[in-house]
Amino acid sequence: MDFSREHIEYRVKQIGDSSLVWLKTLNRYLQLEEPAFLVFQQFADGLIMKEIVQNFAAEYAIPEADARRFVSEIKHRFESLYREFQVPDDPGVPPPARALPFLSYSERNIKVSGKIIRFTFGDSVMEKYLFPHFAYLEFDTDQPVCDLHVEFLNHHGKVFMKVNQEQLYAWPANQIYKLKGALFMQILNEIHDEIKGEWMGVIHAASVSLGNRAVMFPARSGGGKSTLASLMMAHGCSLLSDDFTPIALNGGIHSFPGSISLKSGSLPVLESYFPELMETRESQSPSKEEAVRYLRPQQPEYPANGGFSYAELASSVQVHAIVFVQYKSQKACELERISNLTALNDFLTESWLPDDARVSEKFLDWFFEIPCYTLHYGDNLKAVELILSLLKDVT
Amino acid sequence: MSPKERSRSANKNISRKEAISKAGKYAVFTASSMMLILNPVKAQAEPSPDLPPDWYY
Repeated sequence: MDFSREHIEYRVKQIGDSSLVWLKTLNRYLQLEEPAFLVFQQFADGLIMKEIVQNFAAEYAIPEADARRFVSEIKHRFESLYREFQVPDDPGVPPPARALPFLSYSERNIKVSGKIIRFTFGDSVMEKYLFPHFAYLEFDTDQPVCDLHVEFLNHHGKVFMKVNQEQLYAWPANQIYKLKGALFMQILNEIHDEIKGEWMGVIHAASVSLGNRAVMFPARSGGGKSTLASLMMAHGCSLLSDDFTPIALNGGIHSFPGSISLKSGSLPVLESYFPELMETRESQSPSKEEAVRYLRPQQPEYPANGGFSYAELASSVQVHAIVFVQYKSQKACELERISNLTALNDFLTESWLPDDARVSEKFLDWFFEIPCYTLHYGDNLKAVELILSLLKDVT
Repeated sequence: MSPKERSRSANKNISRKEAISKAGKYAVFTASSMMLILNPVKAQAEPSPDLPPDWYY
């Protein structure tokens, strides 16, 4: 795709002297300082190179040769960005579902927010990969009717997911994590059906709440977010999600009922709070070398039985702080406020945001309203204390 | 002034003194110092949650 006027639809948010630009065609965000933004905007307005160079030289009182070099550099960067963009391959017409040998190796049901969700696994590998996330919600039923039925098949190097007997999705078997993402979205939409699938995005973050305030811990795997979220849970917070945090279009944070996955390194820290962890079996992921154990999420502020609904939980909860956590055994505990502009790139790296201009505007407005922090912690209780103070005091 | 207005006003009614002063804010005009491409992962460009493998176990 070429960098030309017809492909440049964008939205912009001004933060100080920086312009945050979202390019619709690429669904990418850029941070442009004023000179680069002026150049970009004149290309977007359809001006030709010569005019832009002249304008730029006059704007900054620099020789035209210098202006031309800079404008060319910016143009070249945009051209590269647009050239790299690959239009997603058309997956083609999938085979009719009936042509695929969907078999039932096992059938498991879960009940969540009053909904019965049925999984039919074609083999033990897929069952062991997917079901432990929801095993604590298992529900025995002979009832033939369910609210959501998802079937899985691993066949000829591909993994398939069939939803409610009709929609069929497929991925290469080595990208089974994509199937997991799609399954999580199906479950998310089923239990939060009032949102009608309209999400601002899903963030790779653990999230906990106290009252109507939540803190998010976005982090790559290994940062200690699940351990800290579990510790927060042990100190009276509700767990909204371990690593799949949905944000609705109105900015409200919602919950996802997957279990917390914990690596062996966190067991010594957590075993006194959650002795059941030591009795649970380790699970091996097909994509990870390290085994994990699953911990049931808890919402101590909400009734454990009857009336509990994931749709209700968090329906009015707002994010009051975004904390990038990193466990460092040598550090006691250091919580530092950082600028949102500094935090944005790390946050985007952990976000899935749909390709939609309305969403991109809402997302930037939402993100820049929330205080961001880094937390380097080695002293667990001190870290809990600091996060609790954020949950209680941030206004 | 919005970015759009600022762009449109470029090269209009600006004195040489103002222009030199503006340029002085920027030590060097280089694309690398003025343009940061955020979010290097592909996640945003996909129509459904195509999340990086390390999101999940």
